[in-house]
Amino acid sequence: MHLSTKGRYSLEAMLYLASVGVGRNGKEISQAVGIPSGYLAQLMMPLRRDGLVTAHRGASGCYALGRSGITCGEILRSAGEERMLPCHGCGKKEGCATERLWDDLASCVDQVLSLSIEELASSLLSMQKGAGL
Amino acid sequence: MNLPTTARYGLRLLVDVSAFSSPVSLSSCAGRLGISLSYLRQLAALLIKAGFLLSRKGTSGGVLLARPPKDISLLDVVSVLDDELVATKPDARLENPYGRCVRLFLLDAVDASVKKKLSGLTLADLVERQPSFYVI
Repeated sequence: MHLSTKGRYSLEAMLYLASVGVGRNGKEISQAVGIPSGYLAQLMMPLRRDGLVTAHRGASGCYALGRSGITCGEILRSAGEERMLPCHGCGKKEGCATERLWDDLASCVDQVLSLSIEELASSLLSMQKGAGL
Repeated sequence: MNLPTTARYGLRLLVDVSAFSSPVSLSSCAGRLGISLSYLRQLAALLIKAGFLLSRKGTSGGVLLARPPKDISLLDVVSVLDDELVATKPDARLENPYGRCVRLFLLDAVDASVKKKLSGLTLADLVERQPSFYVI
């Protein structure tokens, strides 16, 4: 599966927020994920718009998860990963032999992407424990 | 997820060819599928090289299926047409724990799920879904 960097970094930033469990400021998130803070601010804009993160301004400003149970699919869609849908923008659907196949594959993908960010965070925790970190 | 156009058109070409028992010219396929002939030639070359299609020369030449549709696994076809669908590209940058977690527990899971679905299907499953006017 190929993801745009935008989708991937958005997931990583959200995973970081879910793993720490409390709000974090932009600098902390961008350091953890390894991206410039200006770029992080850009990534956060659509997530804020869709209510997936909340942002508090000011000296003690921080980002936090907007609610619990946010799925990875919701994050990717918010980040503009439109091509996850098969045949997106294809005008030749009429009588297309492979249409059903791509629909079936899309439901496979959607099923995996219905994993919540908290569940992914618990996988992260077990992964770090396993590595002796 | 980036579902590749090569895989999509490659499968449509195989379905189209499967409707004929004798060699079919690529230019007639191009007309039916609404794909440019030069692109279709590239796809056909890949599919011939991988052994899914046979090429016949001459005036009544063209391409035909190398095996019955039920013996052509969709996973094999898609793997030939696109590596990305079944193998996550390694990330060039140094991976942080969050990136590794996303790759291992999400992206690899998506790949495995898609791969599993495809491995259970053959070209015959696609052909059966075809509208009847396609079968000549």
